[in-house]
Amino acid sequence: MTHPLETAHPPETKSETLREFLDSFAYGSRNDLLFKWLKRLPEEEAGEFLRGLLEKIGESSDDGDLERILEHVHRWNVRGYAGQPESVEDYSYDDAPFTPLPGPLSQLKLGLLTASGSFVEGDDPEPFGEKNLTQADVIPRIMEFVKNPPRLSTIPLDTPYDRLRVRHPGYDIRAVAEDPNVGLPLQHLKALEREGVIGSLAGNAFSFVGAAAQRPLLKTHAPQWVEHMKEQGVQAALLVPA
Amino acid sequence: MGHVAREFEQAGLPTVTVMVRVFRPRAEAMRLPRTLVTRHIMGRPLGAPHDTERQMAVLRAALNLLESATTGGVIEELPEPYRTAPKKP
Repeated sequence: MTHPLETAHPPETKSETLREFLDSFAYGSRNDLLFKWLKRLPEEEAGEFLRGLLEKIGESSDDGDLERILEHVHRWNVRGYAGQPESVEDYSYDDAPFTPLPGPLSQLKLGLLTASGSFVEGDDPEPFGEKNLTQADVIPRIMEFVKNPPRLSTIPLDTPYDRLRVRHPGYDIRAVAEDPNVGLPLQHLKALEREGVIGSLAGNAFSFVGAAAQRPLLKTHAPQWVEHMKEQGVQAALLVPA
Repeated sequence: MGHVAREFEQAGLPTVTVMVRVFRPRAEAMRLPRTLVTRHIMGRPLGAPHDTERQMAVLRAALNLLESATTGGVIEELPEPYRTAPKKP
């Protein structure tokens, strides 16, 4: 592929506002799920984010320290989400449910459920009844995911990592695809079981795409999933959203 | 995942949820049972790829919170910023 800088400028350059530029990173022409929150920043704040980013890149050019760039991006990412509900489906509650642990974790069976959109090769959850959808296929269909009930994937604990797949329209999956422990820490939990920190692990972990219709999740699926867990003898659960 | 955590807890199954910092306002609004927050980038809740040391530290902190919490709605935030996996010598 030719680098854009190696081609002549296109004859007609369409003008674009800063707002349009920022919005294009969230499911637009420049879609980048790691930076989709740029759409949430007011223009003047986005300008400050970009100015600061260039400043940090300049500093890091001299000492090679990437951490300050990552911290800058993270701080603005958090700001992008502060005080702004994700969607009209957001919920607030006054009560905080709580069940005490029935004993020391070293004597209990732990279950794992993630919203990473992970599944085992050959056991595709087939969103919308469609087989073999790719990550590129599902990203433009984010609203269909949000309006449809979730599908639960069962992931046997001994699944080799090279048979794990991940697909999710709402976040940048590259890190989980590169190393499943980032969001589906089967290997680490097994290490903690061997160490005696955890009494035992459920034979199956579970995963779903967190971008899903909340009402059926709340009313139908979550109650079913807790029964799945209990059927496996699970006494406590580790939950990992993306 | 917030609704799942609440439903599990109401059904008698204790939970701990590990989430990145951008979702903290959601955890607060939804009053999740036990939440461990990491100052990580979205899509990297436990740490960067192959950063086993950080990933394990997050898991240990989460399991510790699972054991130590005595009331719902508790949120603990790890102070360490996101980092890339340390280079192997």
